[in-house]
Amino acid sequence: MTAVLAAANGALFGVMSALSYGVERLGRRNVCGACGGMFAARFSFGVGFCGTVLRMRGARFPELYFVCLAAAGDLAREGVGVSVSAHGLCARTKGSEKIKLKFDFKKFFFKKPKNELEGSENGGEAKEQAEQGAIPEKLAEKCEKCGQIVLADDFAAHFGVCPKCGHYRKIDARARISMCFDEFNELFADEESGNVLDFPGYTEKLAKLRAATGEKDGVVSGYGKIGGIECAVFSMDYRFMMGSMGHTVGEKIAKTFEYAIEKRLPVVGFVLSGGARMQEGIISLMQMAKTSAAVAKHGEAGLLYISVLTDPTTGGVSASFAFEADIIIAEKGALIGFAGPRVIEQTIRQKLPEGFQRAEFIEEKGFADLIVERKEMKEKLSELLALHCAEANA
Amino acid sequence: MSAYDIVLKSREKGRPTAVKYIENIVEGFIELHGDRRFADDKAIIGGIGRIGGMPVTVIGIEKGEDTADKIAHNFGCAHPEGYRKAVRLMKEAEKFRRPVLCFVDTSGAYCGIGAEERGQSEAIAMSILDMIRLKTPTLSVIIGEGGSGGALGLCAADEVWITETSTYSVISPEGCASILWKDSGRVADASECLKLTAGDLISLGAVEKVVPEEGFGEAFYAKLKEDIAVFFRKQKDVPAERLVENRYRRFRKF
Ligand SMILES: [Zn+2]
Repeated sequence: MTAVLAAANGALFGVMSALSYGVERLGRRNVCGACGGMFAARFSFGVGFCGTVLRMRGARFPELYFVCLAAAGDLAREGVGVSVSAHGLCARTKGSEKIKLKFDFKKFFFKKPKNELEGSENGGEAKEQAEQGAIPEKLAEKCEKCGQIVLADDFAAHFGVCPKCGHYRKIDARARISMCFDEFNELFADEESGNVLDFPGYTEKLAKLRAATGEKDGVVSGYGKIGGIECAVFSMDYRFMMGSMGHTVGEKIAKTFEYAIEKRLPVVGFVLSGGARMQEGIISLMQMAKTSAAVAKHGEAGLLYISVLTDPTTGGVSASFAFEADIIIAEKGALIGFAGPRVIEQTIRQKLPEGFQRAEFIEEKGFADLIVERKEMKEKLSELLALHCAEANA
Repeated sequence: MSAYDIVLKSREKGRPTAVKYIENIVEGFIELHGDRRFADDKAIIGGIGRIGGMPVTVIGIEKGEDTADKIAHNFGCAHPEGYRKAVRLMKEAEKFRRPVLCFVDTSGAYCGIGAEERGQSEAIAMSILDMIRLKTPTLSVIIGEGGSGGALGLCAADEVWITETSTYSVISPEGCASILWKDSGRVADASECLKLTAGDLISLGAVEKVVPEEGFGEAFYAKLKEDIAVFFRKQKDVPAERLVENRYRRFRKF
């Protein structure tokens, strides 16, 4: 496999080399050679979860290409991707001239993120390409909730909300910022840390995620403007181990608050996290205290902090800066809680009621100030910021 | 002793729990109950007493001794009202510039419907935030299990000490093995990897002092009591703003 991938990584970019990504069979499932995601396929070509076009063994219809349906975020799930019924996909794309024609191979493959195998073969180039950004463009995607095919443009136009069923997709840290900010300048972009406890497998995992996402860790920090009001911001990224908090995440968030204290700015925090990053052990736990201390100091300086809790906000992050804000916004439908639902079900040995720990439940129990729909997030944030901004009210 | 042996030891039956420490170290302890919001959580006990004559607020996560007692104290797994009671008592201590001593021993905060409904996350978050900015000396001693956020809620102190065979960890080794390796049999490996023993914690700077256990005899309590008294006497001379700033630096370094 590695040899095939290395060939694909060579100078000859194009359809043929791209096709040599291939598919591995795992029982009755097909595994994407590029990202390791699994999918079922009935036709000769399939598409990996990462957006790569794949050629099945024994291809019968070499003129057909299928486009990946799953979000690149499935990488964060360690390759145990959701299985996509290729049947549904093929039914849509087979013979569809429009989709076929829109598919720009050159652009597609030059922007493609590198995977772990390639990285080890050809580290420099993979790194460079990962830094250029990017997740490949996808033409059509499948909604994780309703299973319907949605054009990628449609998803984008609806802020990552499925136009067919209203399902809120996870969106990455930068997409979240650009959705709400008119202007954004990144800070602390070079912040990164290694495997502090020499935890087995963690170094490799970090390297893989860095290559796949082009991010150093699970949070993006900076400052910018919402509705003309300047504020500091941090935004967490689900693609990086579901936004788990290790040293880098904690450090960047603490630095964001310290920067805001120095510049006398409010902080808007987009929270998304499964909790502490266990591979960093006690250092990860200490990030809860470190970030809390920074939030407290910022608050004592008389400055505003708004947290936006998105799906999911649980564990150590929920039990620290997520719930320490002056104003806590819960994004519609988000899962928010201390323990994850599965852990609770195991502890109490009963099934949890529908809607338990969802944003609506959190508001009803008195722990969120308001629920905001994604499409209204920017407007609501700018209104709240304006109400706290001295100049805006002078 | 392997890390896993220490994990087992930290949970061993018959190991002294918080009440034992209070009995042996705190003179004339008066227990104060309730969070004034919802209930009195028996997993966290608190009150005021004296150490070497000095009034001290003492808060302990109590696991219970025999089975009936363990059930009454919910096995040391606190609900939100436990953390809110702790914060209330700390604020009262701050008002009178009385030192706060915490004994920490929990596998973690309770995971259940009521705990979630009453805001377990918010309760722990605010306990950390309020404790870390408290304008009075604070000391936490981990005396068994220092389990995750539930322990950290009472460990945002000037210093954190740990007894020899106690642990302090972001997740239980069982949880780590099953989540990371999908193999609950690898608990011993996870115990090793998590670096949760007193020796590891000292070298990582997560605790300031390892307290030798000496079989938990009379001498052990006498020595610990003396060390605590010396520590608080020293801290009482530090101006409040400096205490808070030092605490900020203590946690900022991680
Ligand atoms: Zn949908």
